[in-house]
Amino acid sequence: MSADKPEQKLEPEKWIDKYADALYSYAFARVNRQDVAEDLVQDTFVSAWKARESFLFNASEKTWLISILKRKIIDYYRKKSTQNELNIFDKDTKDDFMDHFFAASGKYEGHWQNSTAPLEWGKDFETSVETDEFQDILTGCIGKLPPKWAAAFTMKNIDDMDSEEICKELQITPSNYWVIMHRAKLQLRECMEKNWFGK
Amino acid sequence: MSLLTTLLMTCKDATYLHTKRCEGKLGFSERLGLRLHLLICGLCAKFFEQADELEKCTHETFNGKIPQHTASDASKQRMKQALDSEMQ
Repeated sequence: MSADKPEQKLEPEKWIDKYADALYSYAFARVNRQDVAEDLVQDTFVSAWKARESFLFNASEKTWLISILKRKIIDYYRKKSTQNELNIFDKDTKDDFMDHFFAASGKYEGHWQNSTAPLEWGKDFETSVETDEFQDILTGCIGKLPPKWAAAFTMKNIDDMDSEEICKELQITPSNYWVIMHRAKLQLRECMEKNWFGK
Repeated sequence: MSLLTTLLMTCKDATYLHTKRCEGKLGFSERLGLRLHLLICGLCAKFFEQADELEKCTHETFNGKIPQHTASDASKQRMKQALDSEMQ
């Protein structure tokens, strides 16, 4: 190790006091589960310590820790994808999810069901965004999405990643991505209408 | 999809195109068909408007405008222990 050791600039004994809340917020917004977010943050600190020699001094400690956490979140999403989520790409499977929103047959096949068609919303966005309650409900609704849908949706809309990048990280094809986003938006819109905007 | 079926798309088809439209990836006939559909279908027009807003809200909510969550004290204790045992 050289004379100016990396440890001189990293201060791991202060990491938890300084960064645990910020990392936890970051993780919680993406995985929407307290226990999972806590575990991911803990793993991040341990991994960061093990990888301390890869720390570059032109980055801030916090940015570096977030970049490690980001990888952990993506790994979590990859592991969490279930068979259930993959069935949606099989056109022959009966599709209860879509049938809930759109008529499966008859004269109005493919058109909105009366029970789930978008309603006029009584609350507006500008004032909603400012409130804690709205934030909790939005977090809850994103949390109800299957993990891979939540991943695609948050990578796009929180992290501003482009779709090619998202497909690469989640190991899905572009057409899988359109399908996932379609469903994520249908479910999220309905959830927000029921719990916030339609009230 | 043939040009005719694209032009006469259903609500299911139209809502599928929301993300493609956001990302500027609509093909020519998709764009034309979607524009036509949104002119005649108020429900889908509403869906598009609300989906746009939800994406915007999500971005604003999770990018700094809001108070941060805090990790529980118990979890911080566990983190400290895990890190300490690693550092020894």
